[in-house]
Amino acid sequence: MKPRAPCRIAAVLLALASVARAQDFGSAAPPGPADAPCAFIESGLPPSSIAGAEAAFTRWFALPDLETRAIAAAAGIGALRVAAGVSQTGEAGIGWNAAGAALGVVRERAGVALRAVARRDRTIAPGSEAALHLEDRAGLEAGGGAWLAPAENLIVWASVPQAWAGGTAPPLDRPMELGARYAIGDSTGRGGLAFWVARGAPSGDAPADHAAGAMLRSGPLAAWATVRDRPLRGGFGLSARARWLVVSGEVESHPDLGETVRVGIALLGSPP
Amino acid sequence: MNGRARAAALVAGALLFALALVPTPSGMARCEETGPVPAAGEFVEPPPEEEEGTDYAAEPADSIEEGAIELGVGASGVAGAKPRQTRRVRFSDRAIGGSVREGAGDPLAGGSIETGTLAGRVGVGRLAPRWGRGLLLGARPEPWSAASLDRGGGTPFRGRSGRGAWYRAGRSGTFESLYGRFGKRDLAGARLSAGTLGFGTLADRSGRAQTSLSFARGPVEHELAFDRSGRWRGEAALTRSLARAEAVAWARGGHSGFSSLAEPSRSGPSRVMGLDLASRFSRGRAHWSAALWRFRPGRSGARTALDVERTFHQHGSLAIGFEERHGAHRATGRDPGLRQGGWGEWRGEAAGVALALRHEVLGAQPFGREAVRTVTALRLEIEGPAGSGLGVTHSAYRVRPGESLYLAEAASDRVVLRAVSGTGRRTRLEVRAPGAGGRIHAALDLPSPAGSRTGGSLRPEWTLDWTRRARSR
Repeated sequence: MKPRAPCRIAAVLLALASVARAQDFGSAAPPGPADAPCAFIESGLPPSSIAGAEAAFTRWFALPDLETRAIAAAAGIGALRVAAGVSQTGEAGIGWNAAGAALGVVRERAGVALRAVARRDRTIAPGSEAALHLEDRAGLEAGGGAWLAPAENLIVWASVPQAWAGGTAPPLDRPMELGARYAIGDSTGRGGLAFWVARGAPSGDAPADHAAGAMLRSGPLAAWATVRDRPLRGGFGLSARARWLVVSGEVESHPDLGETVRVGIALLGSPP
Repeated sequence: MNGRARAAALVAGALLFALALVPTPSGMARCEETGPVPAAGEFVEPPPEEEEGTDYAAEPADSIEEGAIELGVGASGVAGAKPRQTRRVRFSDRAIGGSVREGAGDPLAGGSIETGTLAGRVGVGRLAPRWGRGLLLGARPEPWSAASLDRGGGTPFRGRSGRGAWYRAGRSGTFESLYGRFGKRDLAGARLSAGTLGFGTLADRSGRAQTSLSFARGPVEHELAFDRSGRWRGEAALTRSLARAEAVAWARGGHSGFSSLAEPSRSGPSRVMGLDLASRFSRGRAHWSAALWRFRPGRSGARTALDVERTFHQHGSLAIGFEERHGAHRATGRDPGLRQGGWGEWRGEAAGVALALRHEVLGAQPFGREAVRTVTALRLEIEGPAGSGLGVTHSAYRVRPGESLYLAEAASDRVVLRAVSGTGRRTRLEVRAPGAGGRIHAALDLPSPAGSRTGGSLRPEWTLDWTRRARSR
């Protein structure tokens, strides 16, 4: 596949982040299955909630020219879950637009989904040379994810967001991620502590990477912290919920590239 | 400490480790199955007669009931290339039975037919016999193997050491003879068994001959094989069923120049000492093996492996394994030196969905450091109505240049060890469903270009297979 020429700067910057776990639909949420529609599209892990809408914003490595804005909506009928969204990354000269969708099934203790994202450069004038050779300026990736609750309070997930890719290579290579989360809840189910670990498969010449974190939930508030390796770095996030409205934010630092900030606002159809 | 002492210490250490891990008798239920417990997830490799770094296909030796006939039609291909067709038929009746496969480029093409006649049974086609301990015919593939998986009767795979005709008389093969082509040699042989003793001889057209004397009684088995020039090999094995476990110990000695006429690539080391210990307990199993061998002076090796599997209440299981190798395990080729690694496999099931995760690493330094190959894989299975189902397997691997890695892929009529190299990912989608009076199995292999550093083909591959089994009478 040919590299995305107009997005070279962005691609190089993003490629430096060996384990940027999200791309076009990054959501301020811990790794693993989440109720946010953006997270569903991004990871292919279907949510338990049956409906929702979300707007998400990511500023990559404190670069004002490298921002991702995304909106997505999800709906569910019975066990079926579906989500769709659009996103835009970067400025007009170096950016790209993306459209994503996910379709999954959720049962009591398991969920499986497929996801796909299509991208194209933002500056393609109709009838231009670039438009005639769209395969050099656009790409498609498809993959999926699954999660399983093998025991009470334990969730194991596997996400393969780029099982197949065609056209222009995705800006970020996102290999398979395996993870597990264990929750220690209080008797009301509205509070508790959760721990998780995740492992990303090797990508190209880069070795595998690992992440671990913890989340504390108390009523409508949740706070979490994450540690990642290669290079060693950390992040923290907060979310607050008032009935259907959820506001969340996350900051992740990188020793060389700076901070990545994610902010999201969502309307979710099921209470926590 | 020299190499041999180090290897002996390694075996002793592994034994102690195994004894420490195997649950105490009070915590175990009685072992209900006999025979070595097959390891669930060792590092897989094709047999030594196959060229390293190429795909290998094996045929499961499942049988069909008497009076049944099974038809199969398949097609496979690579994107942008002409599809290849395969056809197969299997049948079994009181008097006659057999199987035939055909298809351009199908490594499993061919077949065999057998029928009862002259107070015995006669057959033509594929040959994979085993005499005694396998010194002449039916050798085990690896120096550390306790049993062959594809030679002789009762094995999980149908081997192909040669093709020709055979005749067997007597209920338990009192007399057997064969004539066939093994590799590049035409061989004729006969074996006579009387009680615990067996005598067999094998000769080719140029007059080279080898003879086998064997003794088998209960758990004890011996074989002595020699050729006309006086080169010989002898092997003794002892199988011991303990209360909740089974142990197999074997030892071999002989001339390093002795080579089986039928399967020279499986002749194996001239000296071997091995021990295999398998145990089942109420919620799992354990398997430990260790072997020391020497092909000839200066070319030797050692291996120990341990794997333990534990099942859980909620349809889940966890298995972990460890393996260490020293030296060469083939008579020719490079000596890879130390290889140490381990693997872990978790499997869970819920609501008709099964998820299995596996990670394995093999390194050139202790504790898997300087990894020569690393594989992470997931397997997702979803059960549908009427026996239908969907399976997804995704593997991410990294293989150092000069090393080989094989990913096992099961199809409806075969198991394929797919050779991969470099860094890459592979996704396999499988669908099985009833259809057209039989069963349909479709698979799509998608090598992913993302993150790949491999010289192999990245074109998708597909297979489609239809199988129908019916009663012939």
